[in-house]
Amino acid sequence: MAQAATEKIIEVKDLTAGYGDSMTFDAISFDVKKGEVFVILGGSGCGKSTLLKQMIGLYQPWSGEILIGGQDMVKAEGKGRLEVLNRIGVMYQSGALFGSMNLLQNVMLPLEEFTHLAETARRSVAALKLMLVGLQGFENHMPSEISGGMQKRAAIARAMALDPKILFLDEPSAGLDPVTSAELDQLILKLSRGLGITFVVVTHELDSIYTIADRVIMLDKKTKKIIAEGDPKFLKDHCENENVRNFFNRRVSKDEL
Amino acid sequence: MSKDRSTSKTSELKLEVVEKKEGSLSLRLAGSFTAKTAGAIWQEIETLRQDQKPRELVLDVAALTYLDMTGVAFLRDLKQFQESSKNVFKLNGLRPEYQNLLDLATRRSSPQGAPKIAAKVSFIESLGRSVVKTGEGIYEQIVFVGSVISQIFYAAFHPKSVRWQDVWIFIEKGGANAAPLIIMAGFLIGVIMAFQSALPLKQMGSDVFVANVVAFAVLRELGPLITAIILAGRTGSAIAAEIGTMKINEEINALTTMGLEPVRFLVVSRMMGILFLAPLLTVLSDFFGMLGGMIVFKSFGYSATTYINQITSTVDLGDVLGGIFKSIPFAIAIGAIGCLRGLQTKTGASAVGESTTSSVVTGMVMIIILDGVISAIYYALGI
Repeated sequence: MAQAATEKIIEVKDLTAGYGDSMTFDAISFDVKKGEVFVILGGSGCGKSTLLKQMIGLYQPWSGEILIGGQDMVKAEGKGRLEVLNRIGVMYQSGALFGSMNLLQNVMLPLEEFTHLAETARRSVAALKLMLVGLQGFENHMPSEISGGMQKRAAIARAMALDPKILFLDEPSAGLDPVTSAELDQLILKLSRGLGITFVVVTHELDSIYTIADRVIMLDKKTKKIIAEGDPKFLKDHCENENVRNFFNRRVSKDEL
Repeated sequence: MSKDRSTSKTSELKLEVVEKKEGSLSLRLAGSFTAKTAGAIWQEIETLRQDQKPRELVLDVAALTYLDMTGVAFLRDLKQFQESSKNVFKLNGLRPEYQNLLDLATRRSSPQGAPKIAAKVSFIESLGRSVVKTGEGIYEQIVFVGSVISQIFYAAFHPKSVRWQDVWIFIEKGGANAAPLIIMAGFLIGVIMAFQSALPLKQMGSDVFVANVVAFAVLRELGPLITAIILAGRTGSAIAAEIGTMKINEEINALTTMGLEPVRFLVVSRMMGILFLAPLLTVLSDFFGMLGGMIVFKSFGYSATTYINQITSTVDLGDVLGGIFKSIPFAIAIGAIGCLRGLQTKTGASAVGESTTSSVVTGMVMIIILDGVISAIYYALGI
């Protein structure tokens, strides 16, 4: 276990990226270790979601390397790329469920395409994934017929369809009620501890960060660098950077606003 | 290369039938049970279970190195099937961390087996439903066209209420950018008409009348019709897609809650634009249609002057204006249907596609119906 914990599953090396002429990241580097829950933090507009999209290969970086399980995401093409992609699951901020399919079909789609499971087995697996996120009984609903929070949970279920080794979640708990949000945190921990799934999460919810995060990085809009890295409970009081402490202690300084 | 590796991975999961006798079945699984590896073996065990119907099913999983949620789903299903038929299921050697996951999977009482599929609707019921739906659709269209026309009249008397900026943008996108296509289509129609009519006319030695045929057909019928069809396919569909996308992004709701009437805000500017465009584009199409005819006519050895003389002797201003006037009802139909289909868009990305298709189909049908009605009226009036 100790050995597994130190094994790097994602390595980002000197990543420089941006949109058009404006740079978002200036040569940032970090690692995600196998089995940990890794949280990307930062103020609005600092490029958290962009970083996530760089890591899953949706955007091309200007320079730098992104290695997922040792394979270069940036240069991967064809079969190699598919292999990397099958190892990861992504939940998008808005859910991105396929509107023409019901929830069960949404979750079953990757199973249909990438496994040899029989129809009943696929149904059963998909139904279990939906149950895990608390959506049992909604299998035949269309995405448009359920609430935003439920769409989010269904999107997590779909991201988990192939039991990927790495799950990327873009703001999973935003828009969920506190109970569901806490349940989701527990689910993340269970999957992480039980199955050894690595999580890369973009989130703002402090409660959630303290519960799930093994390690965080915090991005800064001005310097375009990582300004803090480590255990959130430690950073909260001991980080040298005041902005970082402010972020973690927001609840305390709320009165001043 | 990678293919070989993946097949070797698949063989990592192994099933061993330890004991198979009347009423009891003992199995042993070894390797890694994941979504990728499970396919065949899940099926195999399922078949075994159904054939044997064992009173007691023992599954030894001590040798499993890895189990993902697919594996958990498999164990849960096996357990539930056995227990629901009052049989025994024994699971030996499951590691505690996997036991936790299995508990998590069985904790909530989920409906047995695969979720049920929505009930089938009988033919008569679906027929009735579609009749009601069609009726509602027609009613909605009539109400909508009425409200659009009233809004246009309101706008005509209150020009300040119109967002002219939007109108000009629309005219540029739907008109100026459509001009090359209309010119090309109009020109080719003229050429085609000239060639087609030349064949029978030449047999009678009267190919000089090609000019009359082209002018008559293009000005009265083909010019406005081609323009309307291009507008329906290009502009009507664009309107439906744009408004439909706004609808699914809740932009229409945002307009409503801001106190802006969507019909006035979105529809009137587009209707004004298309009403302005259609006659202009029809003139363009008419002109290039006749030009196309003239080029063919000249190739028969006649002069351009003969062509123009022939035309002016047969066609009068009524024919020209009658053709141009036709484009106005066409424009109302295309614009209103585009807007209506856009606003009727349901949720989801596929809904935008449906609205766009429907706007083109309904637009074409309406153009043909209107053309028929107008032709009958012109005939009765002697225009």
